[in-house]
Amino acid sequence: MRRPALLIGPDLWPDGGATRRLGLVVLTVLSLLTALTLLAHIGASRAADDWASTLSREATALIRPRADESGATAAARAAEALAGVRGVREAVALERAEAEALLRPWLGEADLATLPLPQLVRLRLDPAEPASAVSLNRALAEAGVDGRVDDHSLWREDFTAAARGVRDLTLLAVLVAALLTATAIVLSARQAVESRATALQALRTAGADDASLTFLAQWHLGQDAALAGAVGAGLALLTGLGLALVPLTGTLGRVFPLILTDLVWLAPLPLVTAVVAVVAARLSVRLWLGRLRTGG
Amino acid sequence: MTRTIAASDLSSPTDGPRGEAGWPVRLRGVTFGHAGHPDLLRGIDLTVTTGSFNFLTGRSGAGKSLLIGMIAGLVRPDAGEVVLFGQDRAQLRGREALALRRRIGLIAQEDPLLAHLNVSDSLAVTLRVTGEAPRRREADLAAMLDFVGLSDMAERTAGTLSRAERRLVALARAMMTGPELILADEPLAGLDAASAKRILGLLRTLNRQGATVIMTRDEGPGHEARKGDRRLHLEAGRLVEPERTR
Repeated sequence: MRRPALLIGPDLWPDGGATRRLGLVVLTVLSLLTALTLLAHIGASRAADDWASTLSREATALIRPRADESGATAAARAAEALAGVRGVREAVALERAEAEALLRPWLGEADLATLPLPQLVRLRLDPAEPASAVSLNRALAEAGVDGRVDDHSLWREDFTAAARGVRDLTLLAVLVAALLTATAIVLSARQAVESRATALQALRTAGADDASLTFLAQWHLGQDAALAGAVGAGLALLTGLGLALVPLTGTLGRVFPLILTDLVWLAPLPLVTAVVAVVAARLSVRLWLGRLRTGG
Repeated sequence: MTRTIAASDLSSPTDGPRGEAGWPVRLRGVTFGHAGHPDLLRGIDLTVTTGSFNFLTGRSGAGKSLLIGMIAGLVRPDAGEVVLFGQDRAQLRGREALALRRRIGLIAQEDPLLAHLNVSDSLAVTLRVTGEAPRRREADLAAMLDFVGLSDMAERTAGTLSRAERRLVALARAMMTGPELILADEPLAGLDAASAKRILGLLRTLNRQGATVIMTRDEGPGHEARKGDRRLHLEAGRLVEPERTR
């Protein structure tokens, strides 16, 4: 039988009791936090990209009808003129009902039917080469339409910067959570080795070399960290599934638009926590052995 | 009267046909220290002959346990050589180091045992950590328990044993690989006279069977010494050898 197989029985690594269980809970919570912040970052990045992309693909023309024509006629003429501009994919004059629907979020339950609503033309621009507001306004003027095009450029910059800010903040949250988790794993490993000093001494006296002691600590602490990482990732997976499968309900779904494939990013978490624990276990045993040398 | 053990002792012409393998322990210029105690061991030279019974004495903190640990391979010297059974300890790795370790039985101070294991499993630990499946040695386990008189305690956990019983378990555990060299660090410390006599008797028996024994004592061996025993004394980081017991 190979020596590692003889070493890995639970009896050579005394159970840490309540301290070990508490440590597992803390690591699980921190792993969950890391996994959730990771999902938040993925969702926020997608939302930021989507928002910026949508804004650059759309524009709105506000049409003022002449005295001798109806609003609908003016809007139709404007749509026709704008549709011919290079960089415009589609120009649609909105019906009154559609305009009311656009305004309802800002005006609430006001009686919109009694209000003089502007005539709107919605433009869908070529994302690769969108038409500029200047060229669109020129087209309106040439067609004799009194109107103005809003290509969102006034506030698109600020909006994109805000979206980037949200993305960067969630990335910072991921890094902080990961750092906290790694710190907890390192401290937990040190505590685990120190609290088993007598057992390690016993094994050393019985003939276990430094490599065996290190292997033993790595095996058990690596397993504990992998378990905590797996449970944390599992709980985050359930949360992510909820957001991914019901994406349009609630604010969370809109701010963090997750898709199922995003959840794959959670898979390495147990492995990562285990690797950190294995490294921490190695360092902790070395530290302990070093202190034995100097009688500390 | 004392004499310092010199390097010249190591390679005297009287080594004769025994050669390197005839000396289970040879230390040459072994030095060790750290920030708090820079001169714990200063140029220790020592040769221990096969089948000898050696008392290593010195005041508390003189470095006896350190020297035992160094011979056992637990601590590396800052300088000098530790040669065991003709092999330079520092040059051995992996299987070779493990094979050498199996030839050494260590009884450490304070008898560190895994408190949750029973006596039988405690003995099996030595086999497991040195790469041997205990189930192949069940008869040897039983024989060892019988040898130290703990057969009826095989199922008791180590944490429930008295100090003397723990010492016996530690001794039996150290013997499981059939070591040729026994290193016993204060094996009689804290024991009543009867228990001390029993432990020393077992060490004597193992010595008669051919094992080389080095055991430490805070005080001199006194009435425990017998004719032919060797006394080594550590003082101020150096090893001196009083006259051999006659």
